[in-house]
Amino acid sequence: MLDKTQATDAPYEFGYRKLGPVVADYCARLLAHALSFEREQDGKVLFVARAGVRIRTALEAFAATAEIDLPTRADYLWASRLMVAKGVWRRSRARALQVLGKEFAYAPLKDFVAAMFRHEGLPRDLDLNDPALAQRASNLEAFFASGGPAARAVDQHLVEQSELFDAYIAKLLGDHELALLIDTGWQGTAQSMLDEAFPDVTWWGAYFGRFSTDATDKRGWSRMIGVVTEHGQFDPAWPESCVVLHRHMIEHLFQPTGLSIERLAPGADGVISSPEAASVLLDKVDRENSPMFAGVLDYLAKLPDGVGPAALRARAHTEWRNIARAVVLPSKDDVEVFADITRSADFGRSIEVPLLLPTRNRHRDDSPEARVRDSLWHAGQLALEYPQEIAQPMQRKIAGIGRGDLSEKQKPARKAAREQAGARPKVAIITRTLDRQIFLKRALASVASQTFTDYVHVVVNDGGDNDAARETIEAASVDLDRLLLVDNVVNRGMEAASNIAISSCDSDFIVIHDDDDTWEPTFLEKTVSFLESSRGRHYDGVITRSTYVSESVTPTGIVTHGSGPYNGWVETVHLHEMAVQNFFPPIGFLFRRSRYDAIGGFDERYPVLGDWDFNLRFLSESNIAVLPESLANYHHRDRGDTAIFGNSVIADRHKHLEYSAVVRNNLVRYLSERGRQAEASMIGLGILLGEERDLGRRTVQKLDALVGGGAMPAAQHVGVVHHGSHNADAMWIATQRLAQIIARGDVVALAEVGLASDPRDIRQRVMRILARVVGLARPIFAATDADLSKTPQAIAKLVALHRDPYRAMPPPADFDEIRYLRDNPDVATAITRGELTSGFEHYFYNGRQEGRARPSR
Amino acid sequence: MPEPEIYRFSPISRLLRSAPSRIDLARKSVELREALQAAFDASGADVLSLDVFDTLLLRDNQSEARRFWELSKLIRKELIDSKAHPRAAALSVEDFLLARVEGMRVSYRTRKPVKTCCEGVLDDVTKIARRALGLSASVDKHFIATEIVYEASVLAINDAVLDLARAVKAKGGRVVLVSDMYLRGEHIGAILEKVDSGAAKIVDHIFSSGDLVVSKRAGRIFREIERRLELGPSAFFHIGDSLLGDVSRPREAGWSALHFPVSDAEAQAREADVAAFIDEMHALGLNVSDWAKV
Repeated sequence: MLDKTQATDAPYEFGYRKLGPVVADYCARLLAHALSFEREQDGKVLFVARAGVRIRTALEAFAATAEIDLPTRADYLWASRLMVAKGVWRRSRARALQVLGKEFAYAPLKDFVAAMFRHEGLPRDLDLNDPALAQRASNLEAFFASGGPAARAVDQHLVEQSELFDAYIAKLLGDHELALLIDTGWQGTAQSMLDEAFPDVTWWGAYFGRFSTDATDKRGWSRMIGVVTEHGQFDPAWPESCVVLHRHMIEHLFQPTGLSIERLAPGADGVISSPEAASVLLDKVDRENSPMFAGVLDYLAKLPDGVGPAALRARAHTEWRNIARAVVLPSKDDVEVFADITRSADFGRSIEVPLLLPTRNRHRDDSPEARVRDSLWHAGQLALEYPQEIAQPMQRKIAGIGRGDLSEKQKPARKAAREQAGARPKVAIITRTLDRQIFLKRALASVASQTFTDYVHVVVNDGGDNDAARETIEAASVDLDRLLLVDNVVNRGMEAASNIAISSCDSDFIVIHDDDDTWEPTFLEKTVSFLESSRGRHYDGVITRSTYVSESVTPTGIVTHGSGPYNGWVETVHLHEMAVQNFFPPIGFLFRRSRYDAIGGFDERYPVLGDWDFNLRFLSESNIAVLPESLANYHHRDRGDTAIFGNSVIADRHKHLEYSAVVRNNLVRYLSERGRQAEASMIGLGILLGEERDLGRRTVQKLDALVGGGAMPAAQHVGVVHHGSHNADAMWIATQRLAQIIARGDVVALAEVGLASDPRDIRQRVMRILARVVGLARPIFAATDADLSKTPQAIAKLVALHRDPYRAMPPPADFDEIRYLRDNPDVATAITRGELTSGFEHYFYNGRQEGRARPSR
Repeated sequence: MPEPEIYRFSPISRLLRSAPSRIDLARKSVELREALQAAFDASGADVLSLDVFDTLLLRDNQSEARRFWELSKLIRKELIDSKAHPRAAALSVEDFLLARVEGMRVSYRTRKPVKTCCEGVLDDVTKIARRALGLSASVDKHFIATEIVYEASVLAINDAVLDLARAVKAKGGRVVLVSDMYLRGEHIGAILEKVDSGAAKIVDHIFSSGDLVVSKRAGRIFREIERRLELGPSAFFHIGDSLLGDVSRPREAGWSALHFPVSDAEAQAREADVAAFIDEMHALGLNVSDWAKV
C-alpha cells in the first residue's frame, strides 16, 4: 500500500514535468488573446468559474515569472452551464429547455426537479414522491405545460434566477459590448446560450480546446477559440489533439475544490453573486490535495526551460508528444497517475463518476469489455483490463492511428499547393457543348470550384457559334491558363467530340463533364486521390454516387424543381449489371487515359448511348470502383418542352431504345471476337436476370411514389413545406408510419396496410428503400388532397395503425407542439403519465374532433 | 471536313507562368508591355487598379515563412543595436518569429469584422507580439520601421506594369493600389517610396484591407472603392496575381480583371524554400507546418 506522499508523487511529477510545460505555452497564447481583446477591442475578460479560478491562478503564476502583463479589468463569471441555462430562461426559454432537456433526457423528472434546487433545497411543499415525477424528463415542454406544483415551483425558480442573472451580467459588463469567456472547453455551450440571450453583446470564448459533435450548435463557432487545439479528432501530427480522447485530464487539472455554481443570490450588500463562490475561492492547491496542479504551479513559478515563445513552444511540443503517448497508448504505470480521479456529473447532480472503473465485475453480466465501454477513458481502462500486447492494438484502434504514428522521428509534412511546373496535368476535363451558353457558364463555374486544380479543361464546341463560346469562357471567373477551346467547326457527334478533345491534350486521367452537368467541389480531389491510392491502383476508373437534378430553362434562367439520388442503389459496378442498363452518368466517372487508349476511345458511330458502349468495353477489360459520396450532379430537363434544352435521354427516347439493342449486340460480338464466348453467354443471361430484377425495382419505385406523393423518390422531398390541412396531417402520419414499418422490416404490417400481397416477396425490396427512408430526422413530405386521392386505402390503413410500436412520431414541422401543450394542460399531463406520446397525436386523433385549435409555427 | 481548331486563352498569363523570372520578364519583354497595354485599352477603363505585392512589387523566391524569419532577425538586431529594450538580447530570433505569428493569428481572427470580413492589421500584430515577448510599447515603432525597410529590400518594381501605369496617367487616367494585407495604406506607400520613389508619385490612392477590413478576397472592397472614387464598376481595370482576389472577385463586381500569376519556376522555388524552412524549424523542436506558407 502506498502512503499518501508516494500516492501523490506520480501526479505531482506528471504535473511538473509534462503538464507544466504545456500549460506554460497555453498561458502564453491565452494571454495574447486576453490582452488583445481587452486593449485593442475594449473587451471584458471573464474567467468562467469554477475552472476559470485555476486558469486565472495559472495565468498569474506564468505572467509573474515571465514578466508579462495581465489583463487589468478581468473578472470572474460565476456560472456553470446549468446556471447559464437558468439565467437565460426568460430571454431564451426554448434554448434553455433544449440544454436542460438534453442533460436530463434519461433521468426521471424528480431528478430534474431536485437538481434545480440542489444548493438551496426543495421548496417545502414540493413532494418528489409525486407519481407524476417518476416519468422520464424527456419532454420538459410537457412537464412545464402540465402546470403541476413541481412545474410551477421550478418555473418560478428559473424566472427568479434569470432576473438575477440579467442584473448580474449588466453589472459585470458595464459599458463593455464585447466579452471574452475563458474556460477549459469544449463546445462553447454556455457561450452559445449567452449569444442567443444577450445579442447586444459580442461573446467570444477562449478555451483550452475546442471540438464538436454532430449535435454541437455551431452558430458562433468562429468566435470560440481553441487556444491549444481545434482538432475535431486525434491527429498524431498534432499531439495536443490527444485531449479529444481524454478531456478529463484537463478538466480535472483545472477543477478547483468547492461547490458547483448553480444559483445566484443577492448578498447582504445587495451585490449579486453565487453563494457557492466563496467555497471555490478557498481552493486548496498543495502537493497533498491537488498534486497535479501543484506540480504545474511549481513549474510555472520557475519556467526552467525559458520564457520566450519559442522556448515554451518547443518544450510544450516535446511534452505533448509524451502526454499523447500516455493518453492514447497508456501502460498500467501511466494509468496510475490518474487512478484516483473522479469527475462530477454536475448539472445539479451530486454524482461522482470515477475516471476508471475497478477491474472487478459490477454485476453478473459485467465484463472487461463492458467496463472499457462504460469508463470515461477507454484507453486507460484497456490498460487496466488487458495485458499490453492485447490492449495496445485496441488502443490504436480507438485513436485511429497506425504503429509509427506517435514516433518521435515523424516529421511535419506539408502538402504542396501545386504540382511540379511543366509536368502534364493530372486530369483532362472534357466539356462538350453546342450553343448552350447558359449551361456552359454553369459548367465552367463547376470546374472552377474544384478543390483539386491540377487539370486542363477542354471545352469542345461541336459545330456551334464559336465566338459565343469564347465570349462565355473569357467572361467567366476561371483560370484561363487551364482552359482550351476546341472548335469542331461542324457537328461531328458527341463521341467524336470527346475523342477530339481528349486527343488535344495530355493527362493521366480523363473525365467527361458535359455542359449541363455539375460537380460538388471535392469531386476531383476525392476521385483522383482514390485512383492514386494503393487501393485505387487495382482500378482503372472510379465513379461517385450521383444526384439526379430535375430542372427547366425559363426566360429568367435555370429553375431547379427537385433533386435526389440517381440510382442510389449502386454500390459496385458489375459488367453484367452494366449490360442491363447504363446506370451511372459520365459526370460521375473518372478514368485512366491508359485504359481509354487501350480500348480505342469512344466509338464515334453511335448517335446516342456511346458512353454506355464505352463503359461496357471498359468493364470488359478492367474494373471501376465506387465512392459512396454523392459528388456528381446529373441534370435533366424533364419537364415541359424538352425539344430545345432536353437531354438526349429525355428528348431522344426512340433512339435510345433502338441503340440499346445495338450496344448489347456489339458487346456480345466484342467478347466473342476475342474468344470470350463464355463471358458473352453470361452477359446474355445477366440481361435476362437483370430485366427480372428491374421489375422488382420498379415495384419499389411505386412504393417510393406512394411515400413521396410525387414523381421524385420519397427522400427527395425533405424541406418541402407541410400544408397543415387534415389531409396533410394524415399523409404525414402515413409516411412516418410507413418509414417506421420499413425501418423495422415489418413485412406483416406492410401487408396489413395493403402495400404488399406477399410479405416474403417484399423483404428484399424493403431493404433497398431502407437507406433512402431511414436517416431522415424529420422528413417533411409534400402532401395534397390529390395525392391522397390516388392511394386513399393505403393512407387510411396507415393512419388507422394507431398502436404500439407505431404510435409515437415527431410532429410535423409546422405544428407548434409547445403551444398546443401550453394551451391544453390536460394533454400535457396525459403525456407525463405516458398515456399519449405527443400533443400532435392527441390533436389528430381527438383534439380536432373536440374543436381544439391546431397551432402552427 | 474542316479540321478542328484549338484556341488558347490568356497569352499574358501563359507568358508569365513560363518565365524563369517575372522580374526579368517585366524588365525586358516588349511582348508583355504591349499585351498589358492592349488589354487595358480593350477594357475601356479609366482607372488602373493594381494589386501590390507580387504584382506592382515583385517578390524574390523566398517563402513567406522565410521572410518572417528574416524580418524577426532584423527586428531583434534593431532592438539590440538601438538599446530599445534590455530584454531583446535574451530572446531568440525564433521567439520573435513565433510572437509575430501568434500576433497575426490573433489579429486576423479576432479583429472586429466589417461587413463580415475579418482582416489583421500591423499595429495590432505588433502590439500582440511585443506583449508576448514582455517588451514595452516603446519598441512598437522599431518593429514597424524595420518591417518597412525589410519589405522594401526584398521587393523589385514591376517595370512592365509601371510602364502601363505611367501610360494611363499620361492619358489622364488614375492609378490605384488595392491590397489584401495587414499593412496599412501608409505603410504600403512607405515601402513603395523606398523601392521606387517615381512609382509612388503616380499612385492616386492606396486601398488596403488593413485599413478598410473589407477585402478583395471576400469581394467587398470593390464597392467601397467605387463609392470613395464615385465611379461605376466599368471604370476599373484590375491586375493581380491572385485568381480569387484579383480576378474572380473583381469580375463578379463588374470590374475588368487580368491575371498576373506567379511563374511556375518561382512557385517551385518558394515551395522548396518553405519545405526546407519547416525542416529547419523541426530541428529546433518547432512544428510550424500549420502556418508556414509560400
